[in-house]
Amino acid sequence: MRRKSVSSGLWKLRGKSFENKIVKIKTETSSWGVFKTLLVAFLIAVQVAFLIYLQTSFYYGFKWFMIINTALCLITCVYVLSSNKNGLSKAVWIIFILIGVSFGYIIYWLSDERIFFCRAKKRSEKVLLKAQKYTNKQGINYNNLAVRNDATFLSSAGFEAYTSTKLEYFSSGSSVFDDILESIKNAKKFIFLEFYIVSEGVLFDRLCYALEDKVNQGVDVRLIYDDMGCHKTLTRKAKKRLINMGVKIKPFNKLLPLFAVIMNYRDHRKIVVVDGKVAYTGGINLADEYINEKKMHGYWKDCAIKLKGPAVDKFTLIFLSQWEFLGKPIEDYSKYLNLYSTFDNSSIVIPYADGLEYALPVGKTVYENLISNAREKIYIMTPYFITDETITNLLKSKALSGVDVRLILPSVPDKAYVYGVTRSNAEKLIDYGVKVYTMNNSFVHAKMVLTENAVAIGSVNMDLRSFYQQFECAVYLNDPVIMKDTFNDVEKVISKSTLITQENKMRRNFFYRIFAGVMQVFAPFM
Amino acid sequence: MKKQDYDFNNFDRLTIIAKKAVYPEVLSSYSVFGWKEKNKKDDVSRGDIVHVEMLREHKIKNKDELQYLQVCFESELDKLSDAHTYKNAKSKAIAITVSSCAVLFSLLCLPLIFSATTVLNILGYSLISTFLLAPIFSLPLFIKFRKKENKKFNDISGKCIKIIEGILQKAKGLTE
Repeated sequence: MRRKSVSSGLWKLRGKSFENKIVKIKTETSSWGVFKTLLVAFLIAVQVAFLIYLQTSFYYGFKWFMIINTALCLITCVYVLSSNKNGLSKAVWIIFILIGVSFGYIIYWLSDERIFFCRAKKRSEKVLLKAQKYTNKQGINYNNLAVRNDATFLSSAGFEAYTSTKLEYFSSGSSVFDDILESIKNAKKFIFLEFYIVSEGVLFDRLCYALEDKVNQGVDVRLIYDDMGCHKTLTRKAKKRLINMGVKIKPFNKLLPLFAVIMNYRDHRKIVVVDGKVAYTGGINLADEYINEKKMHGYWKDCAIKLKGPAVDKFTLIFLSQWEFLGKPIEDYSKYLNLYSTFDNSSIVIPYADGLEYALPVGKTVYENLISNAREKIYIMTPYFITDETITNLLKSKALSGVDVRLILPSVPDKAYVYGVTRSNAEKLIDYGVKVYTMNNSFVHAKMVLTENAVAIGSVNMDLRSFYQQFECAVYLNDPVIMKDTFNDVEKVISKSTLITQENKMRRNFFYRIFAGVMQVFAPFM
Repeated sequence: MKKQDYDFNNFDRLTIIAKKAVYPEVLSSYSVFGWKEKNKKDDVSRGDIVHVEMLREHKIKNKDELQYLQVCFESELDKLSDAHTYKNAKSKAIAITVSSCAVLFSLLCLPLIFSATTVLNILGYSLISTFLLAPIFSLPLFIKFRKKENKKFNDISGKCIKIIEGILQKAKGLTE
């Protein structure tokens, strides 16, 4: 990591001179990561440009080629219309195919997972079937009809409900990682970690310090990280450090400078499992900004949930399935299961995951069910709000029916173009009675939907990437203590937030509306 | 990433750059959030800047709230800095624009002075003198505008300072 030199006259950070500042926080940045991203983007752009050039040359060069291409383009449009994609994706693809008549349909077929990802999908389904054999079914009586409906849906997707599980809610990354490090210090058998972002820094050093001891004690430590999520933050040196320590690491979907839409599928899960006794999930990644020890996008608001009990086994299975999906060895999962203690708690806990192997978008459907079953309140915390019409229409109709619908977004964006679309989408709901808040000076990274029936906490953003392109995980539960804690946290966040009204909404600005409208075209890819 | 040179398991670290003139105030403000000075050194090339390293115990009461308040505090400091930077930006811009236009139009009217016709000569001189006097005539407007800007700055800085004091008060209550 290179530090900016202080010997040049003025300290510059993000283009602003220190001259005019009272205080400046020193933050280390990596220029190598930015360079790598730009290089990969450039190489992919070159490949796409070459493909377009080749196709266009042939198209205008040969009459018969033009006719065949146009026919294929129209056939592809009809195929897209009849596919299972969501409405917005269909519209965007059809526009793209018709505009790029000579090459659009080729790019569409290159991204169709039934053709190019079928091997990966088959492998994933095989692993999923294996994991389901280890799943224990508990006979549960559901008191609440809404919870019973949600549980039935999740059961049909292979996610069983558990009871006798102790739960704890964490309202910040700092508190949950302190607890995770304590759990790791007490580990005796295995530690499984799965994160989208693993970033070098103080938290990484703390974790390595704890893991080094454990590996020396013979604990099986494994880490899955997403190669795209970590390409700027986890250097080769850091990976070597982990490997030399004895940690087994596997990257998910190695980032290559190739034009391949499969590069779009990322592992967004956040899972920590220790000894099959305790598991964590939430919005947290392994990076200093998540514990607010690195200044980035204001205050980083996150949340997480800790589980102890039978439900931990599901997270163990989710992790082991992913581990096996990423390569050998194929192992017997039973030695990692049934190691939990049981607790006196009759609340329903359903850990679930989402990915290529599931026919329906599980994360999205859970949110839809939660929202549609709500009669009193719907509180949502999400960093992004780029959904399709089903969730938007549900929220509108619920708000108009008198349900207290509140949506909490960040006020400090991490990506300006995504934030533009998020705000635009959210502000459209104000007219229907939805209360939209932005937490002051903060980036809300928490992903949570709370209703009077249940709460879902995990890694699933309210956006199309999480619903359709990323591997996710979360917990659905109806523990009254956790729901109260979550509700209190939401109230606390709202007290630090600004309500978006007709007077202060960004959509009042004409140019902003144009910008948001144009960006909406790219929403399925955000 | 450089190796950590402090006890990162038990302490959090914060490194800032501050102007020497305000450093004591800055240090006392950060101490309200639990930070203590560990290291301070002068900037290599600028005598009026110090680089400060502060440490805080990793596990402290109300840490989440303190972290949030600290971010709000830094945000208000940034607003104060920006208000100071752009305090008279508009009036400066107007002054420069008026003066530049005056000079430009005067230059454009110069050929009239060298014209053979007396009428055009007189026209040229009167136009040039009008354009050159324009900045002087617009001085009262400029002063009025400046006063307005200063008032706006005083309002904003007063508001920021009040908010900062409120934040520090809140933080004091959490660390006591």
